[in-house]
Amino acid sequence: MPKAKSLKEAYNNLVVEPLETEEEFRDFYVERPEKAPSPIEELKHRIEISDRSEKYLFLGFRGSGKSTELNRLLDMIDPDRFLVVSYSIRDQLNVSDFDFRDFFVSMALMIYERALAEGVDLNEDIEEDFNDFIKRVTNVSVEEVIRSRAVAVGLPPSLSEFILLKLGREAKTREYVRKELEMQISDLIQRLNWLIVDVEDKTDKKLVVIVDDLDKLTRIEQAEEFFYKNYELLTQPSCFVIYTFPIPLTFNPYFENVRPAFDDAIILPQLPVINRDGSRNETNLGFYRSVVRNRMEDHLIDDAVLDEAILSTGKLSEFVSIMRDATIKAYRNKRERIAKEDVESALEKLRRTYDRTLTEAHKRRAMEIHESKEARDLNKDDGISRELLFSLTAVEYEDENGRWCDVDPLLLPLVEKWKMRD
Amino acid sequence: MEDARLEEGKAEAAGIEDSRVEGPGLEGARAEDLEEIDTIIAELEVSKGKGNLILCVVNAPAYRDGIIRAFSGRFKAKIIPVEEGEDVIQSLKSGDFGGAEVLIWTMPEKLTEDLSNALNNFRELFYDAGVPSLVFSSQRFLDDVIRSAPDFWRYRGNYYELKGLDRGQAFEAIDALATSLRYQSKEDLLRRRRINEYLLEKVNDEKNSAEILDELGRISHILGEYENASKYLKQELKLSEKVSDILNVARALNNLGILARDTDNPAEARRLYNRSLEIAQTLGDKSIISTSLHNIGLLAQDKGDIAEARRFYGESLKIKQELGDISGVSSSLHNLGILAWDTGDIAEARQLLDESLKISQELGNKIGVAFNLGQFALLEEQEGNLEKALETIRHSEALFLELGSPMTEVARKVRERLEKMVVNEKMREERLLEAHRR
Repeated sequence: MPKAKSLKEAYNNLVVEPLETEEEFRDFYVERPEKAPSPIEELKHRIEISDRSEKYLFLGFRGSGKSTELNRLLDMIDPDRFLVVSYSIRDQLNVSDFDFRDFFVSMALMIYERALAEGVDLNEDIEEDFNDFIKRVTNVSVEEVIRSRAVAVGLPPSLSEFILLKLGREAKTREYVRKELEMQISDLIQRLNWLIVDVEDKTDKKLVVIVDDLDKLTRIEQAEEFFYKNYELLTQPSCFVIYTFPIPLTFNPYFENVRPAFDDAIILPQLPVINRDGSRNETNLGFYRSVVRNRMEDHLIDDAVLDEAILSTGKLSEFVSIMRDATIKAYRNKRERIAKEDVESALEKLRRTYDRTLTEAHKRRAMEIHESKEARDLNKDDGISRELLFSLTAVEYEDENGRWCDVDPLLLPLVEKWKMRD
Repeated sequence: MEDARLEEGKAEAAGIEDSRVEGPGLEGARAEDLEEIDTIIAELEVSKGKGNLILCVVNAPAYRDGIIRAFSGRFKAKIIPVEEGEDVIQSLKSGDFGGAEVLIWTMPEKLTEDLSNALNNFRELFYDAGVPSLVFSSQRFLDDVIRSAPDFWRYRGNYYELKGLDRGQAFEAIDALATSLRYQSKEDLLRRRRINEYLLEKVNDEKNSAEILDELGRISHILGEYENASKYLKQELKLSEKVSDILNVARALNNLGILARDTDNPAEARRLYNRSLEIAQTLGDKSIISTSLHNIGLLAQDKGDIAEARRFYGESLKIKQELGDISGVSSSLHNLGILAWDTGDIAEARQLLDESLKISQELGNKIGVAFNLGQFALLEEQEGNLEKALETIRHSEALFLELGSPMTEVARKVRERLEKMVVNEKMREERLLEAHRR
């Protein structure tokens, strides 16, 4: 993936998607600064040396690069010793209507599919029992899959794919599965563990399951229901599991009860570009600059313009998104390089959106967070700070001096405006 | 015409055969109980005019009342309900028995100190009465008599233990497993056994091995292979103790307790349940506490201690409701239904069993459905709805058969009895119709 020579090429290189291929990592990946390294190397070592099948929470704000880091892990784990099943719940399930029962069905099916793809000769009884159980709790028959094959265009789905499709798309199927599993969730986990034991035995490899995008559940209540009410179930699969975890949930006092149930909570820190005292963090600025410089030739943007975009966003995905927006603006304006006004125009558009969507209560709390550098709810019924963190209107940072919170740098001009108004 | 007379003759013969075992209050009684009742009748016949003391253990009050009705039809009887010692002393001293041929006494559920003293110290009054006494009590009452009123116990003539309505072994109250095991058919169960045997070879982790042994033990138990079940559960207990998995120790003790009860060792069952309860209470594990309480309640029910059984079931039910353990709630309701039935409250029994059945159906718990239908079949039989009873027991038997349960045999016996009764009933109706036509 060569560096972009033109704005058109730059636009296509500025994709707000996790890095995935070997080529993308080689050309675009930027090592995190030494003082805030990626925790993935440490996680890899833990998995390699642990005798127990540990369970980890992987925390990070949305868009901070978690998926990219997990994709790196996928490449780093020794394929001769480990079999990795990595998937995103966004691809398999419906994140706006999500439930732990759908989740465990999807996990079991993903492991089963992987075993089939690897050509694992599963124990006949275990496989037959698994298929019977899954068909029963999803009310999907082989005939139904065959019928779907008859009308399908392109490659027909397998039974697992068919069930996952139905689970993701059909409310009726989800309702059925949830009712069936209401009292049988332990039966499902038992089947899941039977599969895991057999796959590990037959391949002579340890199974590692990486579940991405659990932090993207659309409602905070859903995320709390999943992680806090059912956390004991999440520790029951008998293989390594890495669950991505929404950072705003750590601000709920209940997190301290749940955290010890997992072997570790690994945090991918958000790199601040402005320090707590208001000064610029040149090291982190350098990291963000490299993200863009790796993707386009230097002549397409000046450092000063680039720095403005970085300082006004301070979050990886938002920064890349602003740069992409500014690039298309510059291209449409028939410029040869991205101008300051292109960046400002993109920033202003995003600011207006935030200003419109925030309630008065949110705005007042955002001002308080900016003043105190703390984002705490007043009591357990007050979820305003958590909502701000969930929507990334407020962000938690970490550096050598500890953790602190602030509003999204993009909103700082708005905070000043709200203060004046008050 | 000749054939018809022959059939009529056969039917009459069958009717005579049945009349010995039928009678008001004895519908659905076990054949061995009817044998015992015949012996009691014979003993009362020969005891006429003498103050012989005959003891009879019946746990379910409703069943006891049915038997008393049957005796009252046979003998001129005076029925004396006893609450305290004074009731016994005053009744016997008054000497006014209204010309009764038999005195029938019904004892309370528990033997109080006052009653124990009265029985022990005034035992000779029974003989002085000059009328035979038939004393009904529960198993628990009799156990207490043996311990606390030994003189009265030694003074008795014969004593009888009646088992109760012929629900069959399968249709007694349900015990509660520490963890539920749902399966669809016998094939499914056998496949699970193969899977667990296979996994036992593969798994190195001792905690996981204990869980596999637990399931193997429960599968063997369901299949009626008690020796195998005992072997697996004991291994599980040993392994759980070794790895200090205390919770699993409590579970294993509970399951071994169920096995002890099923192999007629209630004292051992009680000891195991008590240990399990003690551990669960120390750990604060409500699920196992509720299971142990349920199973202790079942032992109390076996002994006819209805109040105690109800108390334990009630405590267990409350915890299960708190935990949202719907399956456990279903088994509590089932057993409380049987208790209501035992005390003669058929409407309450129907309601509780119906609730239990509905939950089992919703959960797809086929074994629970089979048990509940079995109870309903017997209820219908008791109420004289033979066709409905037959239809229901057929459904129950089919489910037991599908699940490979040893209870299939019991359901089959009930079904065969009901089929015979339906045929007899039809023949009787035909005879009556024929007589009417003539």
